[in-house]
Amino acid sequence: MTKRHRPPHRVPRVLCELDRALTAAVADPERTQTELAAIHAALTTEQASELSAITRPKMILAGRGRRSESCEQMDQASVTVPCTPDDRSADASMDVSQTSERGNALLDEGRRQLKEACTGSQAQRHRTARGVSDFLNDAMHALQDGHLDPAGYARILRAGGLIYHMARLPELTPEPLVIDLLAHTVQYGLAAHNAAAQALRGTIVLFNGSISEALDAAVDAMITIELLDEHAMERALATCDTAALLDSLSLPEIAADMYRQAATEFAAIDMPDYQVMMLADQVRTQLEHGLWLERTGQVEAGAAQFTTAAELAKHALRIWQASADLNIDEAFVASCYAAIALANPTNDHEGILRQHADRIAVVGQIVARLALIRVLAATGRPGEAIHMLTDLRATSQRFQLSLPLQLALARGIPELRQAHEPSSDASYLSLLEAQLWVVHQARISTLQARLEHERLRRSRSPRGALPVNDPVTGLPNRTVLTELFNSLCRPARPAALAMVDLDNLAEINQHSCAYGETVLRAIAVTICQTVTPDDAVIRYGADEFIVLLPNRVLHAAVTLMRDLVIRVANLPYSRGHGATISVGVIDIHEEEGCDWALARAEDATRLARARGGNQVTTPTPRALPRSTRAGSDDQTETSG
Amino acid sequence: MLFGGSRLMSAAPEPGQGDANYDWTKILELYQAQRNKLVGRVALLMGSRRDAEDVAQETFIKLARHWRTLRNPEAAVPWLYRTAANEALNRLTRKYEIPVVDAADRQGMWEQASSAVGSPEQALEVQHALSVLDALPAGQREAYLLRHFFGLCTDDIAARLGCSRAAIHTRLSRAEKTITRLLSAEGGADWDCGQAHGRTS
Repeated sequence: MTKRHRPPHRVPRVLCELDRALTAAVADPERTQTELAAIHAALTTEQASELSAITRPKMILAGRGRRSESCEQMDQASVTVPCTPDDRSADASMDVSQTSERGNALLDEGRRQLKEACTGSQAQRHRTARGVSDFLNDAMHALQDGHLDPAGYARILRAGGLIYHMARLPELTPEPLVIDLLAHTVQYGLAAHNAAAQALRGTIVLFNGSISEALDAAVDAMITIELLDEHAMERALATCDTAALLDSLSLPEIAADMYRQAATEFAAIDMPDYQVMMLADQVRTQLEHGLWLERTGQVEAGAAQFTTAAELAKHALRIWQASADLNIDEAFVASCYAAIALANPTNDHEGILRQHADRIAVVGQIVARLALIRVLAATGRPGEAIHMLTDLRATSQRFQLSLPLQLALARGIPELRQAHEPSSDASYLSLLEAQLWVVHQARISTLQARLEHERLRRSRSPRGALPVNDPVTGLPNRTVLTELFNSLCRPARPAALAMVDLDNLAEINQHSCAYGETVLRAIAVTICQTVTPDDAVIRYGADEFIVLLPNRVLHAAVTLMRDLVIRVANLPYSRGHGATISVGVIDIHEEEGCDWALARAEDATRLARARGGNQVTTPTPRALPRSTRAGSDDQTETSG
Repeated sequence: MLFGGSRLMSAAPEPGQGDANYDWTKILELYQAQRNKLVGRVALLMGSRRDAEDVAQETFIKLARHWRTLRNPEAAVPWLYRTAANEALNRLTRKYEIPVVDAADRQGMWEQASSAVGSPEQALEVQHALSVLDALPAGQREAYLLRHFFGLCTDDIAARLGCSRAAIHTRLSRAEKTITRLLSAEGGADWDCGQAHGRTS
């Protein structure tokens, strides 16, 4: 085709005038100042975090000797027992139902590295982080050779992401690992791992200062957890991670609810030590909520929180005391004693609180110390209480606390406030607290609105309602095609149909049948990620997929499919194994039946394959059935 | 705990890290030089000043975050316009969200634009230019603005709007014809903003 040359268009002067006038009109010094502040905050994450302490995930101290032992047992259990139905199906389809010795060694190594990063100094973290990428490569090879199951690889990737996040090296950012982890969990249908990965993503973006994205991640994790229908270790762990994310997002009441769920999950799978820890965390978040309510003037609501927390604490302590062999440090139940003391601040609790809050190792102990301060103030020893509060503020510096707890520390307790805060400060601070409370309410409504929106979206999406009858890809198969075709392609609305054909399945299967399945799954996931929720994806044949694109004209469908071809060709080798696809796209004519449309799409796909594959083709005139309009949009589009 | 919660995960960041990744003075310069122009053009595309300001802020934040990965700081200006166009189009076409068209905001901005120029004649011209742009069908206006005000090439516009290159060529030439017809006395401007940061083919 010869290229026609035409003179370059010059923008008329009037439009340039308009451009200049608009530029002048939007000059707004106040607004530019706020924008600059936002940009500056984005630049210096550290500074941003100081500006709004809410954006940081809390720091939990390393050095919990006894606890990490129990964690290891737990991980051991979760490695050998496939937990969720997804895990099972993935294992069955991959025929790697048991992780081999090499896989176990890799998991042990991952565990060791993460422990090292958790308990070591920052310099040690840097060293560990620099070694992680080789280790991840090993794990990827083990996954490809079938020595490591996909769930194990997900755990290792997650550990890598955590180590990178902790090390905070500018050249090793955790984001790519998290993206990889999310793709991996989607590809193998590891829903529980996906929820945990979302929680990790949330924690990382929250650290980078993006609250909105962190809320999105929390919503995704919460919805995914809702969809899991079996009590299992993975689900319990994902719930616990999500609760921790909500806690860092300064949403104590929602975090408390998540901790409650996690406690129930751990109880259901008979792990009382974790159940007690989750209950203790629930108690702590409830106390934080109660203290916050109290400071905003809702004293009765706060007291009610203390009473519920105290009841819960007694329950947790009963479980803790009932079995002597629980591997939990006393530090973890400190918040339970704090709840009992806050519900009824009398002298009786002083001894036990002093015993549990003598050194500060976990966040719960800070709450216990606050309770002790209140007991001291209530029993007429304000001097001692103030001294202890000052001391506590200094000790808590090394923690990254959630906003409510920071506020509680900064403002102390009401008895001391009245005596020691100047009245001008007091009124200003209460005003500030009231405003923060409003912001907090807004954040809760945002979260709930997004949750509802996401639930609705998932229930209304045609893809969500389809039966999953292809175990390999998790897609519906050809049995539902005709029905879908008739329901999606309505008369007088444009619609397109694309047939996606894998170019080199035989070649890939020569290495191993498991590779073929990996590739099919990767392509199914890529198609689903490329099209919108309104479109339907069906596994049609061994290496063929059908994509129904309602409300889309041919050109739009071709553009979308070209994007798909490029994405598939660019899949990393571990997932795509060098696979490419040929796509035939047709627009569905009115009065055209499903069979005719399929026949035309097949012709187009064959043509794309004949031209060397890795491209998109629309039908040639010959391929059109005579009964339909001939000659419309008959051109060939190629890509690749 | 391993593979378990994020409960054991975070440590305090070391202060001072990452300072070498950006150049605040350069970003500030760029911001002062381009911000208003960017907001104006995005507002033309989106029809809302508030949205345009959000887009501009988002774009500059992205620039700040990606400063380290920019191979050539000179290319930052075209990058800005391109990213802003993408962000604006994303917001305009985002699924499941009903765009809020605030007529008062739009009208207010147009009025401000008219009063920002010196003479009443120029104000009339600005009004006239707006009405010319408003007279274009939405698809043509979008393509025209992206091509000549944001400097995107036709391939990019086609990919972004989900149609073929030929369709974009058609839209552009129709838009140009309409504009020339409506401004028959005005053609041949002395300033071509399409050249300012765009590609010419």
